[in-house]
Amino acid sequence: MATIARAAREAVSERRGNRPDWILFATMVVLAIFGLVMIYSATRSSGTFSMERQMIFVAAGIVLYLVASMIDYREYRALIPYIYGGIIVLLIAVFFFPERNGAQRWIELGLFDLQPAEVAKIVVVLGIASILSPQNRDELRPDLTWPKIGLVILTVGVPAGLIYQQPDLGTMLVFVFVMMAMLFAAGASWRQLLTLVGAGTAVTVALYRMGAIAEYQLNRIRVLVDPTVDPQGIGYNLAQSKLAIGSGQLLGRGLFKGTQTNFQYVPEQETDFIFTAVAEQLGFVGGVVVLLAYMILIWRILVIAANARDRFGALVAIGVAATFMFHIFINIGMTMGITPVTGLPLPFLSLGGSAFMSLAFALGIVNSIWLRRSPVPGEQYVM
Amino acid sequence: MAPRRAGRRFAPGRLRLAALGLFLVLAWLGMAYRLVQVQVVQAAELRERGLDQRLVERELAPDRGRIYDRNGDLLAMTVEAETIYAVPDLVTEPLYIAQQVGGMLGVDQEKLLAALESDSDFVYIKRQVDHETAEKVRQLGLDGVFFESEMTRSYPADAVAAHVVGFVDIDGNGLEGLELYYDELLRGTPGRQIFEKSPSGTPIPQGRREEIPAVPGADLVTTIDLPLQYATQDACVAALERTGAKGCWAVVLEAETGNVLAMAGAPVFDPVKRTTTDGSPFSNAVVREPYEPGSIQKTVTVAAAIEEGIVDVGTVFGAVADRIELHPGACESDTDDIYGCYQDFDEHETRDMTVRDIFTVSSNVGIIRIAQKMPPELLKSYIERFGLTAPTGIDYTGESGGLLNMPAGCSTCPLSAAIGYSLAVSPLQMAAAYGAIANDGVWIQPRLVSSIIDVDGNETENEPETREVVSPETARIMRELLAGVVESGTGGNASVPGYRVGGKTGTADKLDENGNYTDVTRASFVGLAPIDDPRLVVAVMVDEPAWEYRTGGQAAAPVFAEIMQQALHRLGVTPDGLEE
Repeated sequence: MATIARAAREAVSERRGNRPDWILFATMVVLAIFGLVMIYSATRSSGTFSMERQMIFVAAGIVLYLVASMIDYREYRALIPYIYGGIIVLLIAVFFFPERNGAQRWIELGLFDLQPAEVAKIVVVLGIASILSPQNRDELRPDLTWPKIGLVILTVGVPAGLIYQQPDLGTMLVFVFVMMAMLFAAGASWRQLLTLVGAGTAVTVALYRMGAIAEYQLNRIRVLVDPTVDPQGIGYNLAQSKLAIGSGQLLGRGLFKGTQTNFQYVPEQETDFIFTAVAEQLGFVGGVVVLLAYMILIWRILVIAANARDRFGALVAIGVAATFMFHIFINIGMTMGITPVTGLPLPFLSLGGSAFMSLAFALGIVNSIWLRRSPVPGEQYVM
Repeated sequence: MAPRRAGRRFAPGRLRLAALGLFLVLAWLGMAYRLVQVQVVQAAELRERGLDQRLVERELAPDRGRIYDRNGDLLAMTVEAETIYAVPDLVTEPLYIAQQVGGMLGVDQEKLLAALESDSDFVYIKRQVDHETAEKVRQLGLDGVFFESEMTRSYPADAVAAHVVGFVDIDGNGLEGLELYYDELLRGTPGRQIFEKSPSGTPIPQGRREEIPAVPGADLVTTIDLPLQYATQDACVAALERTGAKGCWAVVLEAETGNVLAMAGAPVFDPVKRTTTDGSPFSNAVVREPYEPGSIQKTVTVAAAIEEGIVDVGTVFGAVADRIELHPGACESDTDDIYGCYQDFDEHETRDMTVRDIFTVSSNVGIIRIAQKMPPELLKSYIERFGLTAPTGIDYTGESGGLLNMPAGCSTCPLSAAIGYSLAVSPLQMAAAYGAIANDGVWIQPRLVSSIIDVDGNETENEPETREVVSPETARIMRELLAGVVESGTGGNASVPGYRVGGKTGTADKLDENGNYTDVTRASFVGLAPIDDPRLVVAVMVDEPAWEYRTGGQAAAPVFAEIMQQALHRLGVTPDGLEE
């Protein structure tokens, strides 16, 4: 008995420096459970179906998190071309499925509908990180040459272009933001970054001039300045969302007592506009708690990036952090009228299986990076 | 680039990571700032606006008051009906609905189809359909067709009392008759319902909720006696058939109270379809149509002369001819360029006549001889006192006040007025004037509504105005003269078996468009019964009877007799005369 106990003690002490990041896991689980409550609140007038469905996704997400934690993140590098190729196939496949709400984003699997774009977010993060990381043991910090940046743009561009065609402008912008954040972190020169920003702006202006940006997409930006734009559509969404959040005031109207949200004035409140339900029912306090939870989550990911054992790990973590940051900022910002209305979900809170499972898996990879951080205590890899 | 040493603080890589961290903090502070703005700074305003959009105010329609006859029978009431409407977006078979439902409900099928195919949100198919018909449409189970309960006005007496009761529009606003005159009282006060609603329109249970119930309108108790009203209308309809007239109007007054027991006309008016049988618009000549009354006016002239002591019944006028010229040559003038030729209806030998003779045979020349003894102002004042120059003030809209053309300096005008020309009065004014004779010289304002019962059951009586016009003695003498007209004069057709009836015929030529007299007449008869203590006054006016019925005695007197008989029976008046 004693032998076993000692072995166990040794095993624990041996792994002292490699304990999993409990904060990461706890934050995710707390947000997910909170999300279930809010989804129930938003949809209970039509039963518990949505919440029960989301419970399955949460369970699956936790399993995926644990699986990703166990897999050594470095194993992915060799597989990236295959995974990448696979996701491109899936992104093309969506166009063979029927349109829903004017978009083709889903692959119908029977049990649930897969949104490949959600999965593509992680795949692209892995791809960019791999390109920007040393290709062999001798290379410590590879030069960030224009050809490499070109390869990054190509890696991002193909899935982003396909997603733009769905159309899903919001998700496409996630890719652009994540790419820029990763290039910035990887040490791209200011000249390179400014060139990219300039080129991006030029392309956007050109698209606008050509009329390639649809009116409804422009309206989503116009409405931020002028709330009277599209009063039946996006203007209505935004006005209702603000009314609901404002109605929450400091302490909220009470869970399940949101007149604006529980009685369906706010559209999409179980998915993209779920923050509205939180803010109306739980007030400013509830909103701030949610913001803090996300802040802690992303802060931890950035700390993990700083402590990664290698450049690939650090860049993957930064990519995941950027993904979360962009989603949260754009989503919560849109409910309050400071960012354009897009279809980006609020991580772990919004109803939706693909997003939840993808982000849980991404977080698992980050945990894997943490678990496999520098073997020498105190030694840190410098990017 | 040379590889950097591990662990070095603020290496470019770490700096950039720190920059990302800073970016995170700033973005989050931005969101928190906005959250403060929305949830703290603008919160009260946003909450108020939220409440504003949820609060809906719905008007609760009050029940319109009911209208009863004097016996408590319903003349007008409000009943529940169904309104059928369509939401074009949800309609799947517009053509079928247009043809099938349009056909069932008698709606223009082409118009309905166009409406169903339009992009409007809401189309009435037909409002206020009875439950049975609505059920038939419901059985068809059509997409996009809906039913809603709505109150509708119903007239249990149908056309019988239509000229009195009038009608309302589809939204329940009084448009004619008592429905219009008493609209304010009948309509009641709308209630209000305030509640918070969800976007689908259903009330939010825990939301604010206030309700001010609607106050139903007051009920009217009219003076109309429905069976007599029916008999009166029936007599007029029969008169149209018998005389070929364009119209026939009659009013029955209770002498002592001024109560209008019946007021009817033909052609009849359907209050539901809102059309007259001959297609003309709604009218009520009894109240609204002034006309030159002709000889029925002579009662006023003779009553004035007797009251003033100028003549009495036995006063003899020597050598009364069958025509009289006020200006030399007037009777020879074909073109009426010289005024002042008056002729009796029938030619007769020049003879001496008493006032009684003159009145009984309705001699124009004789009446003018009487009138010539009166100052014009005196005659005018009696015309005014009998209420012929002002509206009676009956509770009905659009009453005519009569016209009297008697300017200073017109020598013929007072004489014309004495025999019922140069003035125009409504049948109701004339009936009320005879009412004064019936009521011992006291004129009583006619009324249609005797009392108003509000929602709490409080009853308000309508008090009619009264005024003394002539002495009871003069009234008694006039009644004897009127009885003579029926017993031995022009009004023989007005006699009612078992009762002594008095009355006066009137036959007035109508003016054409150019103001010239024509052969077309308005035939009148106004009378009262029983003669010693009259209970009833009936006035009848027949508009444009055929030539052979052109006189009051031929066209109007039989109608009068018919109505008077029914009225006497309805009131259970004891017979005072001999059965013929």
